[in-house]
Amino acid sequence: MRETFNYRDKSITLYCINLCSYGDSGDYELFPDEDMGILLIDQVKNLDDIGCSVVDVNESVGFLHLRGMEITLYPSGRMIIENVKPDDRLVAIETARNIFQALR
Amino acid sequence: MNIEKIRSDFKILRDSDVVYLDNAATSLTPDSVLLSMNRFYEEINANPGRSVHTLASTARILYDDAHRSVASFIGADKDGEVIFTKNATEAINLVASGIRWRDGDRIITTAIEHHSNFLPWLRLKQRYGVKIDIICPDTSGQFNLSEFKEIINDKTRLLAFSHASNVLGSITPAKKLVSIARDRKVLTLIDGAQFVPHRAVDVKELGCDFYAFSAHKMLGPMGMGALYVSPNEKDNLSPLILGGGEVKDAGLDFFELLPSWEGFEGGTQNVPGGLGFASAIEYIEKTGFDEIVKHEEKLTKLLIQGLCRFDKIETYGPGLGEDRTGIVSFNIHGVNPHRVSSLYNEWGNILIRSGHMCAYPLMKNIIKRPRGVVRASTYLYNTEDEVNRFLEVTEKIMKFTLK
Repeated sequence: MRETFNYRDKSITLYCINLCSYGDSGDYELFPDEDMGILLIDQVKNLDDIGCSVVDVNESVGFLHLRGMEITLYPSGRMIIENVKPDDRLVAIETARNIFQALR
Repeated sequence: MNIEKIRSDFKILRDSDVVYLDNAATSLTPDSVLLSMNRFYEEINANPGRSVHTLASTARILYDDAHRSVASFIGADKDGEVIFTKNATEAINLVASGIRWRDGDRIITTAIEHHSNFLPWLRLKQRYGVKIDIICPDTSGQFNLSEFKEIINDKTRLLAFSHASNVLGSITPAKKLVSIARDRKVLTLIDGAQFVPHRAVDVKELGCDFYAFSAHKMLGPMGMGALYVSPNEKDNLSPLILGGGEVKDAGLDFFELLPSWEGFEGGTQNVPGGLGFASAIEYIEKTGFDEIVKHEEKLTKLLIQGLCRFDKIETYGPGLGEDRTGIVSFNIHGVNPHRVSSLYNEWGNILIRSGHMCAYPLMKNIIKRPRGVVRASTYLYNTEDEVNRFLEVTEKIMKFTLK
């Protein structure tokens, strides 16, 4: 499944792959069609503003928590979202889109 | 074994610095296998045995030769004991749907099976009321063989088990289990997908009735697999699909299947896949299992020893010194497996697998890790340097995730 959205006046296509499911939750990998070049360390406040707590971050990876989901975010925009409830790809895509839209 | 020479045969290894440790999912493909498949399309590309012309006849002979190579590789009779399938999964499903199940039949399987050797039996339970008896091993994958003896009864029709676990790397004592089953006239099916690429197999010596495996885990192409069927069971098994090229005769109300593999491979076959499969076998035979086993044992030992240095890493499967394949599954305490495997990818260009490995029953009931595991798996082209790089990145991940 894929979805196109605007990021800094550019059109980005986001691909979503189902990794694993268990009970009523699931894990997903999402990645954009081009490197988004996110400066993760600069984004802590922006992520915090949408209720996303940054558990740990350095220049190469960020560990985030958002509504029970555990998110691993890389500078390229690649994202692993675990514990997505309900187990629905659309929920994972919506979560990723909200995170990208919070980045400045 | 000349590792540098072997590595030079794989384009992915020549052209990138990737560390490929996801071999239990799919192995890489050497040039010779690709060449054999390309050559078919470039020089032959005819439907085998359907037409009376030289290209069709050549295709037919080569495809038959491929069956003979695969049969010979596992010690089967070259004449018709091996059927080509899409993969091991299809081979097992062929058996599940091809046996004429009787009311009250029972099947014994184990809790460490890949879904391909578990779900087909569950479906028989749902559809036909076949009873399933499940044997659980200890957490390292070792079975108490007396449990199999005790659970077999007069209604037991089939014992289905994997030769090697796709999660634990443990090796099942197949010959002993087959012997237990044969003593009670129970059929045996072995899922050899994780064993055949790494160790020599002789189905006659094992004495099993069915043996299934895939080409893509042993240097061959995806979409190819094989099922060995013992001569005693050939006539008792129905094909999974029916169609062209499969019958000796057919009328308005009857059909008679061809003997040999032809009666099981309806429709136009994956001839280039078959040739690639045979070519992969040639590559493995040329390298030699003695060398492959020795090499994988060395790498696996290095992997396990390296991982065991970290307090917060839990490994699964047999311990050091025990017989096992090159599969090493583990978890970093408190870190989800998919996060861990993505970090190996991002920080070291190291490709491994994470999650449930299509083995939910094992994850939930044996090692009790419902979120799954991280799995590294070696093959003949991996090097000690690669394992060391894997361990260096492990250390980096540990430092970041557990600080």
